[in-house]
Amino acid sequence: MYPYGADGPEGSDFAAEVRRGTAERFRKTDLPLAKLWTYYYGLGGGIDEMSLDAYLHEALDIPSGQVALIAMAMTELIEGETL
Amino acid sequence: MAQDSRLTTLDRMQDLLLESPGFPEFLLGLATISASLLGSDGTVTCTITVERDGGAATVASSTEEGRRLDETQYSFGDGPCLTAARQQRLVLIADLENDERWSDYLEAALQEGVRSVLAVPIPTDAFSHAGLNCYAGTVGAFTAETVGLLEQHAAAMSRVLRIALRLHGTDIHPEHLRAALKSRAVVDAAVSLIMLQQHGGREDALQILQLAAKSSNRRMHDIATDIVRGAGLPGAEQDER
Repeated sequence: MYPYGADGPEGSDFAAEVRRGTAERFRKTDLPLAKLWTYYYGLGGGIDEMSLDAYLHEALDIPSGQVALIAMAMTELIEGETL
Repeated sequence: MAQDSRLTTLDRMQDLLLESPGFPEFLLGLATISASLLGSDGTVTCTITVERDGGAATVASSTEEGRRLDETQYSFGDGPCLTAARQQRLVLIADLENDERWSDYLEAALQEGVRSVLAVPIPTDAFSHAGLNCYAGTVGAFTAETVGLLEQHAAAMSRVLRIALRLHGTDIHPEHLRAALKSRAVVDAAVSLIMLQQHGGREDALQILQLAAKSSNRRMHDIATDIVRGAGLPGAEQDER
């Protein structure tokens, strides 16, 4: 069982990589931050918009569960637009 | 005096800019101010249409009737006000019964008791277009003098509206807010059910929803909807490990 926001010595490298990847994806999509946050909230997201902003600018670590939700929100939003 | 009343209108618009919590409220105030310029007896209804890049449109009306008229126009996809906003040119229809443009829409407007329409473009920026629309129940309600007044008013609104568009640039369309609220309610309900069934935590339950969405290539919200409606938990399949 992982503690909330798990990152051991190995985990933090992985987390940083994921964070960079997600941030880069966000920049490419041209999604407004507020739109992403609203959708992420709809999926059960638990962090505030300002923290999301900081995360996407690689300035904040957040729990891995939230990272997965953000990634999912981005994917669904992008897919939704091409439908 | 004309000069004074114009200053007052500008002041009111600036106050509105400062006091409105969101873009829709601001636009509504703008429509109301516009209608009050044309007399306080309520014989003229004013609406303001703003279309932004990506098709997000906001409509504000000084009356309920005006809102219906604008929505009708949207359902036809065309009309005098949309033309004024999109092509940035003034449209004046002195008598709806003697006009052949936009016939479907004008028919619907006539049934609402409208006899004359004036639509004035409001210059904004490169990413949006806007127009002020006035509906009256009498033929030829808009004289050359009124047209001049409203053109001046539209020019004054242009500056305030451009500021508002920048200020509220990232405002979410109400539709998206409603969709998010609805989705959240369903996801929360599904999470509660999964937690109860598995005696698990919230994070785990969310993860189960995500895995199920990924493996079936469906939206998380749809998976949650299924669960709330009584479908089996997707977690059951994953317990094979």
